[in-house]
Amino acid sequence: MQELFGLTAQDLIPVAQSLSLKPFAAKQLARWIYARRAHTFDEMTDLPKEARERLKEGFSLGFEAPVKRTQSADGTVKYLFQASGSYLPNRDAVSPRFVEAAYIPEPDRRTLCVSTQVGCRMGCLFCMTGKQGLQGHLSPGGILAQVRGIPESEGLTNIVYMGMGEPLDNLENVLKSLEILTADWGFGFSNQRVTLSSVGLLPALEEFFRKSRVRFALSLHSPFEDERRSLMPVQNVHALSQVLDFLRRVQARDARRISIEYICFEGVNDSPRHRRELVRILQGLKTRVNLIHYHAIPGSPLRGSSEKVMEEFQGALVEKGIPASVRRSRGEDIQAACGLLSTKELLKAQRAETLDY
Amino acid sequence: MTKADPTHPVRISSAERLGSAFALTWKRDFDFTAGQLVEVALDESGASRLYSLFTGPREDEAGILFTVAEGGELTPSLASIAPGDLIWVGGPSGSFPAYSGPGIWIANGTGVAPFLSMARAGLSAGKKLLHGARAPDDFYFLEELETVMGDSYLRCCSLISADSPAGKGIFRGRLTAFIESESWDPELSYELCGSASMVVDVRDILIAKGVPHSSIVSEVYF
Repeated sequence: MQELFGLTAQDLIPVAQSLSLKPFAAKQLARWIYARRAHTFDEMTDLPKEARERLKEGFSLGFEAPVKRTQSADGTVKYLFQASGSYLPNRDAVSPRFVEAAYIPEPDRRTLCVSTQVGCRMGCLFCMTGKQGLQGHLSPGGILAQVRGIPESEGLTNIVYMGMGEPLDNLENVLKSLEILTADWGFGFSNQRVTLSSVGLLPALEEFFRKSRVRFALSLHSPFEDERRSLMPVQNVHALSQVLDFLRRVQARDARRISIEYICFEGVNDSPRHRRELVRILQGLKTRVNLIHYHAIPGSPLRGSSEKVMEEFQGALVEKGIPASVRRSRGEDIQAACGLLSTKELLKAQRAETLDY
Repeated sequence: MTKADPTHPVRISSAERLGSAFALTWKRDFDFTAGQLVEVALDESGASRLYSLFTGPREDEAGILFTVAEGGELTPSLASIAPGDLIWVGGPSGSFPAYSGPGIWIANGTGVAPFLSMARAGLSAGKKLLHGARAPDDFYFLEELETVMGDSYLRCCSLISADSPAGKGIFRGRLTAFIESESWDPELSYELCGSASMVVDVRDILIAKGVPHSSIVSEVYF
């Protein structure tokens, strides 16, 4: 059975042709799968009955539901999805792999934070996912199953690519998922309601801006390149100054919305010296800075800054003309129960046989 | 010499199999500093990847060291490249620091490449190199590193039998097990290069042993 969930309208053209349908029927098919959220081929009443019968014989509409749900006192819900089969291509996983999605309800929006990889190879010091290493790239279906598979799916207003994995390290699959999310035949989200966050992988970033219109957030976390090195190994490969120069050029040619993600670490990146340097390096870039509370992870040498320090940091940025906000901490009470720790332990046991050191 | 940017074709002068890795070199036509990377592709519009240069910045040849990634877009084809063939190279880029003075270099697999380049650049004084590999054949440029670094070159091998003649001077076990078993000077700088799993595991151990995170700099294979 070929799975259709995760295929773009273009990908569906050969499927339509194999059913003796005209190529334009691919968009009809896509509209049923995503926009109308069909559960069965029988619902696709604008397709000929014979085509529907053949679809039933050779194709599947399936997407996986989450295997675990954990709810925070503040309403945030963490979902754990099993990633296997077509969701994790090129990976013969003997044991299960997992990814997480977080549903964040607020008075004016209902956001889903999705994962793009199982694990991550960016190795950021502050990140729990990085401790798994990279286990695999999610397919478009594996990314979008998180959107489609939760009970709150139809009420979602915003999607952020800020979960497990570095989206630009899985660019081809991420771009396909963004196309499906924002197309009129797809889930129909406005580009303004979808944000992709990245550490700034330059060649992939260029392709992302060429091929997608969704919003972009840069994980910055220190304005000093030497200090950023010890937080984010990517700094040694794609220097922050080069990434910011590139983003300035992007904004010069189109008014793309770009924001900055800045996790505040006590005594590491929250001093007046850091504020001044952040203001300096962001000159010429129209942006908003999101100051983020750090959810400490076990064994980390990093601690989150206090509310007071974060508010001072925010005030200093605003005073210098840079819009800034402190992002409210959400779901902190379910961090430990979210499954990541158990996943990590499981994966460590599995990869002990495959390590090359 | 000029910066090799944008990506341009170069003709391969040597292609060598080293254990499970491959080394390719070509006539150097750009300047770089030890620890930098180049972007490599098979043709102008094909998939490209970044690789650390293993050669020294004053050598006539520039070269990369790589292993074949299963299902990869580039390395399976790159492994069949022969002398005389063309590949496309861009860069150099990156700024993996080559600090002078005492410090510890830690690598797994082909992550040894930037440290070999630094050693060839004369930057190994006061350094100790720890290299982890699964098999004894994967200690690339072994004789050269033993000559240049002497007792400061330590190898850890997880797949080696106790009676193997290749096992002389090797710590039998994982790199992480060796690092776990030793104490580490918090005043030194620690430079790590290799897979994300190794970098994250080693960094965690060093931090747990009292090394400040600000003294640890890592480069991960992207």
